[in-house]
Amino acid sequence: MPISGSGKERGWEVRTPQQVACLWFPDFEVVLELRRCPQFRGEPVALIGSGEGTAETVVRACSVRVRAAGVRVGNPAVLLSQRCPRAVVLPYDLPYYERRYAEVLLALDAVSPAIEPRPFDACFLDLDGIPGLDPLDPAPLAAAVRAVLPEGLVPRIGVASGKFVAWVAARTATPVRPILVADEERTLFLSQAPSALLPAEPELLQVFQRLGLRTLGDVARLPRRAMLARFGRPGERLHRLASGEDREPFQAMALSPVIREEIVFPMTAPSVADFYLALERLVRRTFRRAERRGRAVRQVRVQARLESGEVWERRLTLRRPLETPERVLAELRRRLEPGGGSHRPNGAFTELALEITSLAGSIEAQPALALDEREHRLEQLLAELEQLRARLGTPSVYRIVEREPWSRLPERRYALVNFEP
Amino acid sequence: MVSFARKTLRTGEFRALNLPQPVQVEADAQGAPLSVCRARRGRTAQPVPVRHIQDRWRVDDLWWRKPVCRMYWQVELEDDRVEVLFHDRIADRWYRQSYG
Repeated sequence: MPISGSGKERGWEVRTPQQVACLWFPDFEVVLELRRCPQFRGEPVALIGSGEGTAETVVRACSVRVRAAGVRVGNPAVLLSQRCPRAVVLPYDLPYYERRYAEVLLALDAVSPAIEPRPFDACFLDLDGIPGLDPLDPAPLAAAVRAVLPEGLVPRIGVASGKFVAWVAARTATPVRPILVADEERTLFLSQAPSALLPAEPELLQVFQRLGLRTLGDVARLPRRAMLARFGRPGERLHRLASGEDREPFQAMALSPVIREEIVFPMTAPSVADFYLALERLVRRTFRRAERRGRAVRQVRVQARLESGEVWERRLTLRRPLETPERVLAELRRRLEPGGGSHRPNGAFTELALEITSLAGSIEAQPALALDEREHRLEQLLAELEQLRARLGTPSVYRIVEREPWSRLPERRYALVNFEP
Repeated sequence: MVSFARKTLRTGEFRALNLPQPVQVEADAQGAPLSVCRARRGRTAQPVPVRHIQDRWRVDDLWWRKPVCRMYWQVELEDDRVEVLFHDRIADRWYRQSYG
């Protein structure tokens, strides 16, 4: 599963750890919003946005008080005005949550190098071989996690020999009391847990409720063949989990640094020319990042914050890995033009960001035997620029670029930008 | 909608070129420029009469956002210089700006 800002999607490693910790972050998105908007603490908060696969505006996340008023995730946003009129309504800022979640994963790398993400509400840590952790006492683990996470993010922690049992334990834990479930206690522990914790579609969980299967024990007491016959393979899997037979594989994801560049416009940028001008600068900047290590670009994500506050985003997988900024830019222009499969943002924007989300293997390039004249002069120019910058401390060389050369307003035709080779 | 406090990165990336420069202009009843105040180095601004109006045109733009309504005048001054001025009809101010 792709994680924004956490780098590559490749490098999954399947493991079978002896002990797994589940970190549950209840209402992760709401907690993040309250951290950056502390004036709303104590208020009922709902985050709204487009539903998945639909243009309708729905509740994407909400606080406990909004849920207590009878509003659920996925409900139409208009329901808020009826059931919780005092709710503070904020837009669902997915890129922001993805970046913060990626930062959480990178921070947890200090506790365990093997992490399986489950955005945004949880993640799993492989605890095998971690020094200083007592297999019978989760308190040192909780302390280690608290030490690396940002203030205000307090997960509930469950520890067990399988992911599902650890997940149920985390749902039962409190912020100050992690729960460890020993193997011999597993069956009894699960039997009392609500069946709503099973990893199933909401519709299936509602069927379980209607059939009176309110706990995992109720599900486990049914014959497995009956579950298989009634609900198919998914039902059989749920029966195994409810019975404590947790053989779900642990998929550790290798994390890598983010390659992301952003531009904030001092004034709203309304034109197509501004968009491509900014995109070109972002492409060149990401190519200069040392983390790329000369590797070709396979996939990028372009994000724009529109004047309305909404976030436009496109993830583009290139047909083949491209190793020069000019080729990447040409491909992006082709894909973002009408008829190219995606489309650039419709409207003026205030911020533009480019993220390299996937890189290919290292490029084996033959070093040039001799620089040509143009490259030699460019090298000389760069050296002079560096001296100027060192002496003056600020960029002092600029370049004139075309914005809208056809514009009837002369100040919109050209722009001055800092010279970046 | 709540505005977010976001980290500002690298503001001032793009600077417009050829921004209009405010100028003092005396115009007749029809709005045609009669003289332009030119600031000279070490001296106070002196009005320079307009010898001849070479061209004029009107620009109405961005009416769907922040409307722009300008009356441009290409004038030849008594000191033989040619300048392009425009009258911002919304703000009722005169500017000098290169055009073309």
